[in-house]
Amino acid sequence: MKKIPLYYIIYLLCITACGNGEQKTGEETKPLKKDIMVKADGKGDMILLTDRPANLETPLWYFRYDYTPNDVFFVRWHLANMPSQIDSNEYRLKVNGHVNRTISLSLTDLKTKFKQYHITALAACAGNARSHFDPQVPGGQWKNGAMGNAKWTGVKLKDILMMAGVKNGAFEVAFNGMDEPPLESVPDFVKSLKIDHAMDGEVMVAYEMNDKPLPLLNGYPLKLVVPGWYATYWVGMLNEIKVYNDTFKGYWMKKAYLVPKGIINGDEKHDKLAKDLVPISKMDVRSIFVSPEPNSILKANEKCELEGLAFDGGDGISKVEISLNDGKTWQATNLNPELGKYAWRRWKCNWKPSAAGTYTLKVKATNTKGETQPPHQWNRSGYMRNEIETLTIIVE
Amino acid sequence: MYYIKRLYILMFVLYIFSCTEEKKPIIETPKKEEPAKELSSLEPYLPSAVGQKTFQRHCLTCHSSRYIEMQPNFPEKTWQKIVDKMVKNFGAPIPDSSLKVIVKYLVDVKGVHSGQ
Repeated sequence: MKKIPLYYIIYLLCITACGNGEQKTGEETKPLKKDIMVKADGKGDMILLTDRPANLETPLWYFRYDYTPNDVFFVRWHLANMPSQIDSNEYRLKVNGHVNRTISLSLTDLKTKFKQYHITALAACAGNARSHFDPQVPGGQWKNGAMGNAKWTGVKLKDILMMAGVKNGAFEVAFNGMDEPPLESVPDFVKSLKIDHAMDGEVMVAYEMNDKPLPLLNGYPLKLVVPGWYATYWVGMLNEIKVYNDTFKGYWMKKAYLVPKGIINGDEKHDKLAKDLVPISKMDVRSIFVSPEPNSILKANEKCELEGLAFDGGDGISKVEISLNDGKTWQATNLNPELGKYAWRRWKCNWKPSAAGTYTLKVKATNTKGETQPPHQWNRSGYMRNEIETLTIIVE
Repeated sequence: MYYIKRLYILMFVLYIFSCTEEKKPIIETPKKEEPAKELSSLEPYLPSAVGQKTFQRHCLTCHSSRYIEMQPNFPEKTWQKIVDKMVKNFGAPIPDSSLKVIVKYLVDVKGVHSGQ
């Protein structure tokens, strides 16, 4: 009879005692918190971050799909006062400010008076994977599920702005949704883009994701899509677009969602915080493991397919490498075909662990500009997480 | 007899049909440990400690206590900063006399204490 190693018995006792909860798999891994699964109206089972306002995370498992299903697409709201239903006939998108004429568009107007536009793009929360930062930082404690890839259908923002007629001297465009602060003193959630960005022909107003109307909790009926930029700009329940002839000074641009200026990956030291901050913008290069999931147990001498995702702000992923020995050596993975330059890209790699033990796997992506991921990254707000990802795997 | 024969044929056709239906690329469904709770009926839980009522009165207007329950344990100076931010940036109408009580409550339920 084969001898069962003592550590395995201890391990088994440990997982029996605490389920998926608290077991430690090595010095480098934090104890896993057990997920609370919830079901919101119009959505499937998702991981609870908060209930009011609703912030829900996509379970990692769904990232095996190229297009994240709408019913488990992550949900992120800042302000608790939002409509629980919307009358699509009454809904209007207003365009005003520094324009030749104020316009008010119905959903039918958007679908009939403009050329339809599609783009496949990854929406990733600025604070995705915040819970991974060390030292830990306050804020939504997302794992990797505050992102999703979808095909967006709607109208180019440029076409909408051209219908209103942007006046000379236009500088920024601000976007507001129907969500409102519960108290007057709380700043309304409004985001802005520079006029050239707004008019670039890629930023769009989407009325469909993955060929269906958006779920209410994902911003039905209209969502701003800013390909390559963090999802904080992707304003949901969009009902007002306002053109400014100077800088937009709202709280959510001037005080929140700021990162160290001119520093790659938004990095700073916790004992020496950056003084100069700017609004977060384009996504940095990142890759993650999707399968096997953390704490999976594999069998020695059995083939396993390692799989994950890589993405950046639209320059394109050129390679994804993995390390099976805690970063000592690296090897290339196979990339699936591109789904679009702003979409995520799937990587795969076969692995046959030859011996039992605990393995520390790492994954690192590089884009066409040569930008890659740092071995350590941190900032006070927990944004732009792209430290090289580690996955601990136990092989029996 | 005739009907039984027809029934067999029908079953066979159904069997073939069900097989072709299954041909779509399938990704096995995730395991469910327990049924998901309805979001609307969720009751976030924070332990009782001195100051809980003050915390509830002043903080839960804008967000549920899940906002605290979700956080890792933080030292007092971090909780102090968070409460200051709620007052200065978001205009939370909290009287000065209640600020300390709220911070103490947060440290009690989600604090890093010495040796931790």
